[in-house]
Amino acid sequence: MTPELERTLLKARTISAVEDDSSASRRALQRFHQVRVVRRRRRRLLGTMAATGVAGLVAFLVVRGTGNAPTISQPQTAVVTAAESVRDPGQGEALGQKGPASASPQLIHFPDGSSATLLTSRTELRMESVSDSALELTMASGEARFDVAPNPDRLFRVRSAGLRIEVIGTSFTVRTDRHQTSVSVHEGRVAVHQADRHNILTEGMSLKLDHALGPEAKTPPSVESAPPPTAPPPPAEPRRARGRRRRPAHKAEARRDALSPEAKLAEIRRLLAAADVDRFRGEPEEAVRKLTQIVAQFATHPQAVPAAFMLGRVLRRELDAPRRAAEAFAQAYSLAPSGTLADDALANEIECWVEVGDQQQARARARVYSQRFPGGRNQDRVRRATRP
Amino acid sequence: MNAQDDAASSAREPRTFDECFLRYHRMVATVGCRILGYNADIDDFVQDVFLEVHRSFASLSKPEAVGGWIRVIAVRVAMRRARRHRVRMALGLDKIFETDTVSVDASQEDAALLDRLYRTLDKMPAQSRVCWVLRHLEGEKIDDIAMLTNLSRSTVKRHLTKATVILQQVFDDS
Repeated sequence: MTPELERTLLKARTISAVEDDSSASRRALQRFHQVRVVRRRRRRLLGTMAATGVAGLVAFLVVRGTGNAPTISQPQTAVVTAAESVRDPGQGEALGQKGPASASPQLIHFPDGSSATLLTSRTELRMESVSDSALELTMASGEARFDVAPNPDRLFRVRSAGLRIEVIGTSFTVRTDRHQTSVSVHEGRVAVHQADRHNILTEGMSLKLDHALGPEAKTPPSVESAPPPTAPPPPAEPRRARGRRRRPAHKAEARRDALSPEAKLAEIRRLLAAADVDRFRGEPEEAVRKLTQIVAQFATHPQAVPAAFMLGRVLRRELDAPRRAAEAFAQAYSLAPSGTLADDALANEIECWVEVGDQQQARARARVYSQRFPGGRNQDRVRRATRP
Repeated sequence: MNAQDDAASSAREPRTFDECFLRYHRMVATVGCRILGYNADIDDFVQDVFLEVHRSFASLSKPEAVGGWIRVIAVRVAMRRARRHRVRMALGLDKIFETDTVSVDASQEDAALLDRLYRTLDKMPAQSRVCWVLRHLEGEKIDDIAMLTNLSRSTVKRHLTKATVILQQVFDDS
């Protein structure tokens, strides 16, 4: 050991952080009990919100037997818990508060980790059924953004104006009114069905259906896309093929599914290390390609979250691509909305939307931030970014 | 509790949670400082450790072993935080260590040495960092380090070798 290191060790050993003072110790004890009470209250509040969701659902099911189907008022941030299926479409539980009193977007959390942000007070969203294998919603009017937690064993379906939108882990917005219904995909892949017409939308694509043409219109809904998809979309799977048994669409996906957990982790680490090397070499585009690969191919792995976050950072800082960066941060948030990076991911997303010039989206996401992270470490930063 | 109560309780093993906290919170804070660095949020770290202690305190079967048990919890919480700190540093969310000379009882020269030490520890994997600190700053034996960190003896030795090589290179180059 070098003399300098020895000296450093000696100094480090002699320094202690806390003074030997009994009054300071008693003050520390007092602070501990105060913090413990605050954390216990916070846990109880979350438990109460979950219990409110269950109680409301039970009340609805009881009243439904008498022929009345009340609209259940939910708090602005609601947690929906699992319940038995409701059989009649359109008669499901209403979500969110309706009417002019509801001034700000409402965030609805679902039991599988997905969420819906009701972007206007006119949004009518009903939950038809929720189970381990499927979560089905109906949207009659308004606009809502859905952030769907990746889960190949669970179908997330939204019905709106004759469209049936099915996703397995993605983020998309549905807007519907008397004249038109549109679906915009922010990340991931969405299947949109209308009668016997089927469309697969990927990131950056949107679909519009003009209601004036009617449900039997020969003209299909218009699909707009940014970059074309790089791989052919998989065929729509028959209903009975869903569930625990998965059928990969192509060989690469089959190879990936065959990897053991250790091999998956090793592959992810290899790609992360290679992305770091690319960045140090001044080749951020290559790094983006590798990080995108991790997020796309290993979306359900915990490492996908930091990969998505890093992707956002590289796109924003090294490639000056704030829109793509916003989408990457949004994905990092949606993959783990309660994770350690969620707060920062959402804050970065908001700043990117401001850089893009999409103030509406930035403010909508800022409201989500305020609801999800009251007093969060990025509160000031978000406020500064969205100041008019 | 007053000073007389303090003196009486320090002569025997702590019986209540409050006595435990008063007896061991300095030890926990010191472990936290040495593993995480002197600019870490040590108050928050101590809170986290004692919250875990509080949750399981009622079911403690050997009150005489409470000190060792708290030490295990402190090391494992510190290891989790060190791991999280590395991830956040890689993503640019946390800064690399800088000594806060106002709060540390050290001369400018000593602060620079501590700075270099903790900057180097910041670059190591969390487990190597924790093993090295426990060995060289806390003076723990390898078997005890293995118990504290829930790693095997050979893994602890491997981490110690890795950390020592890195530190010797840094301090040799200076």
